[in-house]
Amino acid sequence: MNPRRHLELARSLVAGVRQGAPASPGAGEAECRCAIGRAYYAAFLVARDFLNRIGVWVTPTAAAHPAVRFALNNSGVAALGAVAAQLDALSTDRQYADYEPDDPRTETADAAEAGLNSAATAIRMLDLIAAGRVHPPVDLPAVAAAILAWAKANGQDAKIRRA
Amino acid sequence: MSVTLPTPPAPPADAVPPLPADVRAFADRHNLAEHLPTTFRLIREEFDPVGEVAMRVRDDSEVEGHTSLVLNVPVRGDVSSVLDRYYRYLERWVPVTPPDARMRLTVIWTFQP
Repeated sequence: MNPRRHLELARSLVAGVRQGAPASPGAGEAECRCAIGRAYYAAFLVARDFLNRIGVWVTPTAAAHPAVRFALNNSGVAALGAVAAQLDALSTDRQYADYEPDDPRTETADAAEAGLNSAATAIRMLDLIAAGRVHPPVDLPAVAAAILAWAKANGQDAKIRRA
Repeated sequence: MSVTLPTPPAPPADAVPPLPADVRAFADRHNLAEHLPTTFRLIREEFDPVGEVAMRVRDDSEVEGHTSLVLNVPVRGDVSSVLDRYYRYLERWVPVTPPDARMRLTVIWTFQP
């Protein structure tokens, strides 16, 4: 399945809340929390796939979540650093949404929509970079080499290595 | 006779609010202290927060050993304007903050009614 479909589900959930017709009984709290989670996973999985495509393997364990961000952050490309920061914020929101039922900050349609739009922007940036449609173009083999060199130098090569 | 009281000086643009003890300890442990003034200045300049930025040292709920300092910015406005502010913030923050610090500093926001 294309992980971008998680984003479509997130959009449907938020649209239902906006229209006063959430998918389950209530005011849409669960839908907004769920949408944030789906948005995060869409962006995370596309980012992991981006890394795989440029030749960087990332552990399939739970440690992949920070590992993907570490990899993007240490790529030497500011745009990928910004994607890492967006993933970081989305991951934090997802954890609030999934683990902190007493904290309502992720229960609004605005919060959920911001999350899914941020995820969509991160995915669009990764797609543009992968397609060579940014100016100047990103040297993807150099990005992979920078990430792998960082992983080796920082003892992260069990989680991040050549694909 | 009227007396004009002196206006207190405005805080420096990169002033860091008082840090709770656990935040200070975390910042010291991960060499974040030197990056906080710039981070707070950019948050003020780009987000235009409507209150105090909340700080919390937060353990990852799923990955043991990964902890970050979460800065939660209170904002007001529609979704697209807040996201535009966030992207402008990132555009300025990423180039001036080293990757190790970026992995330990998380900026999120909360919409205020």
